[in-house]
Amino acid sequence: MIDSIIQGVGVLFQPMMMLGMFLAVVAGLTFGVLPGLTGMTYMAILIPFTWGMDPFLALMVLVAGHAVSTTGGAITSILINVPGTGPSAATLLDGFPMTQQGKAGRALGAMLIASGMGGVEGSIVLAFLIPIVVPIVMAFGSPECFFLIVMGLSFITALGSGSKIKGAISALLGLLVSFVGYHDATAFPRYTFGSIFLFDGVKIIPCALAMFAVPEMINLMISGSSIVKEGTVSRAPMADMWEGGKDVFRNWWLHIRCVFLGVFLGIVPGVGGDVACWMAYGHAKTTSKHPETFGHGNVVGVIAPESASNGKEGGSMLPTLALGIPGSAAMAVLLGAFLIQGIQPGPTFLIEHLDLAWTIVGTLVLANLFGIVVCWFAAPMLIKITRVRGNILAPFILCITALGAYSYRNSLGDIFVMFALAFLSWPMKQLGYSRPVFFLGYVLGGLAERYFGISIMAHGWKFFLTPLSLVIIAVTIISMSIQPLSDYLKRGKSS
Amino acid sequence: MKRKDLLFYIILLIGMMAAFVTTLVYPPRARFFPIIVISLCGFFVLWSLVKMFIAWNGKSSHSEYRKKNEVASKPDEGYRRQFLITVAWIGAFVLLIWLLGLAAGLPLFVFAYIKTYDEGWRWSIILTITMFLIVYGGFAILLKIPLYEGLLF
Repeated sequence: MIDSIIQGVGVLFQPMMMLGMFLAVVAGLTFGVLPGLTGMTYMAILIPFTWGMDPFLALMVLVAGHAVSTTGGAITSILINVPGTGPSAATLLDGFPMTQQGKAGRALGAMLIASGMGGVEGSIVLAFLIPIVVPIVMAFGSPECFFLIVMGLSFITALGSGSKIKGAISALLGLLVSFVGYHDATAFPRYTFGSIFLFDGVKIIPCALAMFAVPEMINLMISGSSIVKEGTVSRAPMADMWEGGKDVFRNWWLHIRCVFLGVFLGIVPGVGGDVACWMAYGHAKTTSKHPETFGHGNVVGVIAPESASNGKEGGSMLPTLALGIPGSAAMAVLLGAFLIQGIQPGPTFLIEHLDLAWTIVGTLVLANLFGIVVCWFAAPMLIKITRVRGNILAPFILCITALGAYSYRNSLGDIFVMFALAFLSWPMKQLGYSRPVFFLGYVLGGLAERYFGISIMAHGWKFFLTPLSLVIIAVTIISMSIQPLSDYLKRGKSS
Repeated sequence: MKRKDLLFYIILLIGMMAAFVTTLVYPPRARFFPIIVISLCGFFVLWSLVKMFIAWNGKSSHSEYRKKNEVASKPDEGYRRQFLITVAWIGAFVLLIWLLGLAAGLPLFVFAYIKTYDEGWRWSIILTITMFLIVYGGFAILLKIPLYEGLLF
């Protein structure tokens, strides 16, 4: 074991490997920054170039770039309200208001440290969990996954602000959009209006861009002013970033909880990183003493989703490496890369290639640290974007947004879908409907229906009577009742 | 704001009714979840509308209320004009992409928009070239993403 660790991690410190990692981190961050290009796209594009490379170098280059891509996505979420990747959408809820208040540096500092540390801690958890992953993964069948999704949906009440009715309508509209396309169980096309393009449903990147980026660009085009209003005072970016970094340590217990949440949801195949970020945000809000400050630039709203976002990378590697079961589309691509290198992930992988497993764990740790350093020095320059006039910034970002929607699956239809949804999201923004709640409904709706269908087919209507399902139901009820209960107790005390 | 809210609720209600009728023809398993969601959404929209009308009826004088509401919600004329111009720009943007494709349409849009708003030749040219380099150099050549070429080409 010790020999494998020394051998696996030691490989990473060779000059060629370090150079490869640095380039991979820069490329991964760039992919994350560009909307529509994700870590998965990065790996898919790079796989042909890794053919014939040394397996250690090839897999290190792929894993390193993928690991930091969500960090890159969070930068644009915070600075210009454009989520670079799906999971980054949760970060903009508080990150962008902080930017508008002239606290972009603090938000970026908190994001970088939470995200980077989350990645490192997630990798350490991965290292410890490798020997015991099999029973954990096997315990999660479709009923358990369904109730995990329901738990995520229960956070809708926490995410909404303002009118409860408007929150409910937003969530239901999101759920409705998630039903567009083929129904999994019956293969029946729904709400496609005869368009073959819509058979595949509304994809996450065009939807995220329509919900968060396009309305912001419309408002910038209308006002013509910069993101940060004239006269808004902000401190020196570096000093602000240090302050943001310190915020993570001030909220270290929340950070750890969110990392574990990310790792746990990463392990469960099919649940995905988007769910992890939203659940972490919901958890932070429900357990906060000042939930009303969320959505208005509370730094905790940046720390929670970013901790879970990179923490989940370690978790999602587990079933891929130890069982050969990819937990997400990105992991399926990585599995393909393993097979191209002639390596078969699965139970025998940890016996035959333990050194490579440690190289991957080490890559996750080092890539996240590299990511922090690269972004830390690039951030002060990037913050200047927020002071560029809207008449210059808006058309440019609108083009990048359209390009992002298109490049997700090289389809012009995604650009049309994005603008069609923007006609819904802009009035929603203006009239005080919760777009995050809409997005959460959209992300979880399809998954909930899928797992519900499978559970009914496999277990009948008593599918919820498995021990783990009952535990998840209990946790959901408890977490939902904490806030109303504490409000009730507070009212009782004051009267 | 009230009038805009009312308009949005009415549009939503019509949308929900259309979706409900559409969903009824689906097989039972395919319509199970959507019917629940549409019914709930329709119920909430209807509830909000009823609440709005009750509030409206509760006022002592309709005309007085309407006048007051109109004054409160009367949008700035300049803002409304700018909004319509922005919608036209977005329409033009989509049309440009559709007709000229991404490599030509996107840089052209950047140039036209920045020049129209008098940001000077320097910014117009720099950003147009940058956009072209991102679209063509970055996406088409470096990433080998097949770009949509437009209806006219």
